[in-house]
Amino acid sequence: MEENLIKIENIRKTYTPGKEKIHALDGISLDIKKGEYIAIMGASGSGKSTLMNIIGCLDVATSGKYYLNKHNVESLNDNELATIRNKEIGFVFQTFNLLARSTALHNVELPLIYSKVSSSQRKERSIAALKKVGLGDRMMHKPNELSGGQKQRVAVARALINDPSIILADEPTGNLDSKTSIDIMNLFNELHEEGNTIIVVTHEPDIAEFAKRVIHLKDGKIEQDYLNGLVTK
Amino acid sequence: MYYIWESIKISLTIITENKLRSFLTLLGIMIGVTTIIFVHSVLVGAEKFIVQELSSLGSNTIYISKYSWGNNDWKKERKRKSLSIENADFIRNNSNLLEYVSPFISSLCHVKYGSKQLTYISLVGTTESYEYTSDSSPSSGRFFSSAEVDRGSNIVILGNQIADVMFGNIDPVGQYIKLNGRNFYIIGVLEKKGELFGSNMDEQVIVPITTLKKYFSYSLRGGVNISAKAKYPTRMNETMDNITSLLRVNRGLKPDEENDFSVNQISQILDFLNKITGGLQILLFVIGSLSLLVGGIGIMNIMLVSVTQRTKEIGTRKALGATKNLILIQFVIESVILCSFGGFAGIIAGFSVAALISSFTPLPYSISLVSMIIGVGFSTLVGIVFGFYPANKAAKLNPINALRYE
Repeated sequence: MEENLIKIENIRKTYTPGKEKIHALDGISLDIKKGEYIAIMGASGSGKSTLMNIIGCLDVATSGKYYLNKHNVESLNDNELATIRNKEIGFVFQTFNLLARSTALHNVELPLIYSKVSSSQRKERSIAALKKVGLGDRMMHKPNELSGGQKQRVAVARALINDPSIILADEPTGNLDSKTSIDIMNLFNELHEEGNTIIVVTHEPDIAEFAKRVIHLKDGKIEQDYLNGLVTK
Repeated sequence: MYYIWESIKISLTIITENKLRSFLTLLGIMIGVTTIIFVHSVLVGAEKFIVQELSSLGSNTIYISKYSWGNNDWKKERKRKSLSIENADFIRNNSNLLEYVSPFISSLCHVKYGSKQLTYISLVGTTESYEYTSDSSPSSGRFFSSAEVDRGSNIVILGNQIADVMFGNIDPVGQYIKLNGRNFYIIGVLEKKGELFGSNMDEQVIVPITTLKKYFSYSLRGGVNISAKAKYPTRMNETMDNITSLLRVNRGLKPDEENDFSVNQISQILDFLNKITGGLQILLFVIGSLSLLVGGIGIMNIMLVSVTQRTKEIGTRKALGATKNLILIQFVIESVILCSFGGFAGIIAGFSVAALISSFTPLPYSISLVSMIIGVGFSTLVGIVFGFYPANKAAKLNPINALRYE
């Protein structure tokens, strides 16, 4: 039996922006095993972004327990959270979030800078990562010289570079046309087949179809959690 | 160290990408540092210059004259009775704290040799000990003797430059030269002495004081000054008091009367000088600090803009594992680099302005390590102080909000 990579127990997150409390997450429990490919779905306001932020260690829950790769995330301070994000999580964002002034290569190197990898090793590993996502010939290009799909490939290479426990993609195809979206999702499929754990947050059913397991959120609760019966194209 | 180097690289990219903005930002710092460097350089230069000039006079030399040094009571002192040769003799005969005492009269004359003529040359009439009280040793020939002073001989000692101009390669010693049309036998040429307070010490001729009285009687109007060399350099105050009391007796002053002469010493000028430069230094510090303050506010402003513009970048960096401290370091370094560019530019500009000014004034300028350290130090400090608030703001950004920022 494989061990749980992520174990979430009865997590709640409440905001108090005005007079009333808002329960963004209202008691969520979730186990994710190593190598799973999951889509988290839900309408806006369903709590999927909040869940993603908590899984991504960008935010901590108001109550409940979260273990990521045996780390008890609830007990960590800001600096330790930063280290966890650096080592355990590879982010892919809807808006790519590349550094505009830096080359593709330097963008991919960035997480390695924060884990103090020597510059020669950094370069070596980043080149390998960019080749893997099919951008071996675009390494010295800056983001404004790349297409949307290429930018997202750079972001995927950056997410992979530190060999994280999970790849966390937030609407990764939200800013891409449908053809490019499929390209990117196929790239995620490849990564999944290589054994990476992938969590994609999306509101598009087409995109969710690529995942093996789908979790539907509604009003801060898990509405459905099922395995995708459909065979990926 | 690892992050600092990375942060420096990032900052350099950002600074060079926004060239105009960076330049305008560091202009304030640059002006502040320029002010400090320029004024400091000129002040140190001027001080060095004056001290150098004064050191040629010798520190144990005492000057007695109608006027006091470093005093502005000139109108009052003008009415004083001139000093006399007799005063000098009295001091010499009655003080056992003085090694040499020489009265001297300064005047002007025309010098002619063959067809070459120099007009309005500084003429000094004095006694044999002037060689020691004014550090005027001959480089060739000799100084005159007391017998020659007593006799009032027609002999002259030439300043180095006069000898050069009039005689070129020929040795002037043993030649005759005309002073105001009268023949004088040249017995010596002085060593090169340079300038003192703008007057060329190599462009003078020296004759016995008795000779001066005999042939250049117009010179007596200016009165006599006395230079004296103390026997014991460690007992200067005592020596000066001794001279004062002797002169009071000799000039018949009553106990309630003020001195009608001044006993001066080089250190008096130095004290006076230090007072002036000390005041100027404080003024400079205030002005420099004010412009650095203004420059610092400019830096803070632009750093705040930069943090806002790069909110999303900060969020991304945090998501990828940058800790608060790393973000803080990155922005402080950016501010420091911006400021030190301003500082370096200010150092160069400050020295350039100082060099420019010294090129058409006699004032030298001094490139001192101290002022460079001050310049770089202050601008770095400004960078840290004024960069800290924006950097801290960046460091404290919530990554979720920062990532969502458009």
